[in-house]
Amino acid sequence: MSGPRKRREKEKEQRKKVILNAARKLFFKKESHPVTVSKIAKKAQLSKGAIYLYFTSKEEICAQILLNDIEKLHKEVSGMIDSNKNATQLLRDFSYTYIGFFLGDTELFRILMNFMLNNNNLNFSDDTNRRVIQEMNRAISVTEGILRYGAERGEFHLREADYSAETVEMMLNEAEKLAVEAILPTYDVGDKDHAQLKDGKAYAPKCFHEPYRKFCEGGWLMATKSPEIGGQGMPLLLWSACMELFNSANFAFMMYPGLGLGAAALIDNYGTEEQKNKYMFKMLEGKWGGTMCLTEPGAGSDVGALRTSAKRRPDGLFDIIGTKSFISSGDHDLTENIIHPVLARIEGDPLGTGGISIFIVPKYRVKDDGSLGVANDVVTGNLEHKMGIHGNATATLNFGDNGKCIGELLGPERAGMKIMFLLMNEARLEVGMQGLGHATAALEHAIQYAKERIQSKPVWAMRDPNAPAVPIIQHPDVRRTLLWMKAHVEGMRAMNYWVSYCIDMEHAAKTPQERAKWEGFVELLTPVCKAYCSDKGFDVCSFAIDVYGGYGYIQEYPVEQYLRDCKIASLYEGTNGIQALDLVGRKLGMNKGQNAMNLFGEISATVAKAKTIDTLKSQAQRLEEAYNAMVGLTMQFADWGKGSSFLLPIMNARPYLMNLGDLVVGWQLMQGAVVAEEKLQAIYAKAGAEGSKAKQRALARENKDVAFYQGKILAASYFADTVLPTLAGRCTAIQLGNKAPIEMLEESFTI
Amino acid sequence: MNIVACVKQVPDTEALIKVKPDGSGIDEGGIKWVMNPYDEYGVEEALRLKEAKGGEVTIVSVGPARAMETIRTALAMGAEKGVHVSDPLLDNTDAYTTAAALAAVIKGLNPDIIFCGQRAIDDDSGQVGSILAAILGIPQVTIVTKLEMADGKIKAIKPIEGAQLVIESTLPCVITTQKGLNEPRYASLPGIMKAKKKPVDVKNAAALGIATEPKAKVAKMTPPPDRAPGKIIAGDDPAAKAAELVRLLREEAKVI
Repeated sequence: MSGPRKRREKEKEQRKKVILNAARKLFFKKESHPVTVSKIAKKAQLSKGAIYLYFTSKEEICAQILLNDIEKLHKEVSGMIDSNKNATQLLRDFSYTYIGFFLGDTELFRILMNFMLNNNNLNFSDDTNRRVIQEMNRAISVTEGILRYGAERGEFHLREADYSAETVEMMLNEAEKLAVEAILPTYDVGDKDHAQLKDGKAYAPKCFHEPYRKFCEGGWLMATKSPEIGGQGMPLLLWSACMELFNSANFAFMMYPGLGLGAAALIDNYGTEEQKNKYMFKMLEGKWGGTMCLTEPGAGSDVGALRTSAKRRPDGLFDIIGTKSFISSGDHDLTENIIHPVLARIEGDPLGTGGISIFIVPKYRVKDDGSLGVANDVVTGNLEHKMGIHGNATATLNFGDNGKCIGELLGPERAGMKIMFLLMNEARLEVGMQGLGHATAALEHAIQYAKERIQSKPVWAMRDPNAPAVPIIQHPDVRRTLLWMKAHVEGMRAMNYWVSYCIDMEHAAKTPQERAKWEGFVELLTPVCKAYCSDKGFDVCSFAIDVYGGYGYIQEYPVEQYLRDCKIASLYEGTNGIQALDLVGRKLGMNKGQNAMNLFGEISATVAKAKTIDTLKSQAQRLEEAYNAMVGLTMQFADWGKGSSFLLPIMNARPYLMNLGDLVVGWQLMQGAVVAEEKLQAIYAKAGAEGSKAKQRALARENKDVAFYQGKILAASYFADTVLPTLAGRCTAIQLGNKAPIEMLEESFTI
Repeated sequence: MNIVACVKQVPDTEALIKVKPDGSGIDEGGIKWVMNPYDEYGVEEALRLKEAKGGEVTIVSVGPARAMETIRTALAMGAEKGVHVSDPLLDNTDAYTTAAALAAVIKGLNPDIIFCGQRAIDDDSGQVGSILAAILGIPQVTIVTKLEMADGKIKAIKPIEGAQLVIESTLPCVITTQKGLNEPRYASLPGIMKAKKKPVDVKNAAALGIATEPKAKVAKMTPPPDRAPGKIIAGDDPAAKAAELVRLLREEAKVI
């Protein structure tokens, strides 16, 4: 490093120290007199502008508060509470809730906590939005924490349609029936038969036809669509719970209706009325399928490099020429037609992503009366031979080899990337759900197997030659593995469902600010759901094989397929490396960091609540420490980003993403544990089991609810005590700023 | 056509059944409740008949408040309306009283045909459909695996050992349904949303004017005895062990 630059760095470090010290003193010593930016500026011997500059993202809020009189702030909040302003409104409007705590303003936080705890609106008696996890083959689980999360704030708006608890229950039951009875039996058969290409025609596994028909007939394609177009207006939260069941049953199958739905959503959002009538309704009925055609042999992560072209025709349509590869559900016989949204560049448009448009290209042309016409020169070159998801046809599609492929523009010209991003964001969340689905299924299988498989004496009876062998679930190593899996599965479930819930809330929001807040959570967590759940989902599948031992590696047992099927989730829809860049490069700084701030605020609110519960106190402490570590790392990233070390956040984006995932999972598990604890105490009180561990354990043996809630708490506490403490270390490791991967010459990578 | 399908809510086939310590019945805690699978065939057949010939399907169930879920499920599958006989005096009652309650409801409905599952998978009594037909004074065909209707008559196939009977009957009649008759449909999402608005009459025993004192009572319920452990014949001489095995099979197990 050159001399002047080094000096600048040093100066910067010093300034930072002075500012932090000043801030710390002001906030944590609870000086009650008004504090202003000018005061800090004076203390730090810097201009006010420099202070503002420093207080970006999280710090920006500090600056706002600094300008306020803190006592006045307390009075304001108390006043709002006294005037009995509705809790929801208060929490929604008043983002200081979090900030107060964030800055160590314990007084403000105490006022708000008292309010939250004493307010009747926040006593949630709605017992019914609950579904208990059972065996995968008979299982359904909706994370109560999330449903309650909404109920808690009185905000669980259900979109246009009326969803009573009874309806929710019935829908979950039907989803389970369909998943277990119709889709699950195709799981291994579809893997063995796999999608096939014969004489230029592609076929889905035969066994997929019947469940596909049932899925469409059941109205599942239309579940979340507005009642105006014949849908059921199902909240995404509930849809996620249904999807987890379907995905667990057979993800390769689910990709057929899934891609069709995604493509239909593009037309729904950006198509003309004519295009909707021509294509969308048939897609939503399941008569026609859909895909998303982005990737080309030379354009994967770098979509801007695509070469597919669109030539203007005199009739306003376009001739499409090019090759798309790795197209999921690209060609098959489940539907009579397939509608491809295709990214291509209109001749003469600029290079890069800005010059890309999107076209609707049907496999068979559609006549004016809606009937099918001639083939549209979309030729399937081959189907890939993959590691997993064999049941799904991953196709190379050649558009216009014979010059006869016609497409129509969707949306405005050169808006292709923006439009496709709608689909890509949804698809990324769905891939997160895929990771979760495989993990759920693998976990349920592993638990079942561990209960049935008898092998080895227990360790405490090793010396007794007559001691019988026991089910392997009794061995500590197996138990630990299973609990690790359970904690991650439940945490990922909660995270995915929560993001779905945020989307519901975004749609239900009444003000632009409110909408922005929910949207911010979705933006921020979309790459986390995608990458974290696919990577951790894969780990869970791998551990499931460990539980089976050697048998897990054998194809007669189901778990090796989950591992194979799951791997793709880390790769497609943007590799996990790309997801991490999206998070660190775009999402963290979005809205001047407010989205991340809001998320940290939610987490600290849960920490505070959990700290009031005796049994969760120490775990809440772990969560708080992990949270502090992540806040610190985030600040470090912001700092690096501004200086010569800007490559460090980029290089460490993936570990950062995984850390954030762990934090969010730890938070969600804690939230579930808080709810479970309240429930348990009520049941214990009724059964006279308060304070007696023995009675509580006995109760869990006969009462499934008790077993469920105890499991929730133990999973949360295991995660908090074993995963979260490593977070601080992992943050420190990144903060050491090792640059070896950047500095090393390519030549030195060879061994 | 005016079609009735009777349904019963039963524990899921995979539920773990525990007998109450006092033997008075089963412990209902933690049980998942479903429509009796044999009744599902009845509902499906009723819906198919309606779709072919027109008319409407009424679902009738006798059971506690939770049985409403099962009625709603049948409505979500496509039935038009329901009648729920719900009365604590009828909880866990016997087959005769159940049939009497069903008959009291069904008389007023004046149906052309009535479907019942051939038995319920909880108590396996297999009597309700037959008693119902007797009270109503109409013909019955039990354990039906195929049903046709033409010229105001039904032709039903009923498997018997080594053969099958083809039975004709006039209408109205009671059909009890067996596996193989059809493949019951899943309730669709639109069906579930519509089911909420379909009418269900709730009636108690007094309104129906039926006697609630059961003719048969469950005296005691016990779980099946644990299976005795197997016997291992000890010894070094295979011939002697074989002889002992033969002796045990003949004298103790009495199977040879």
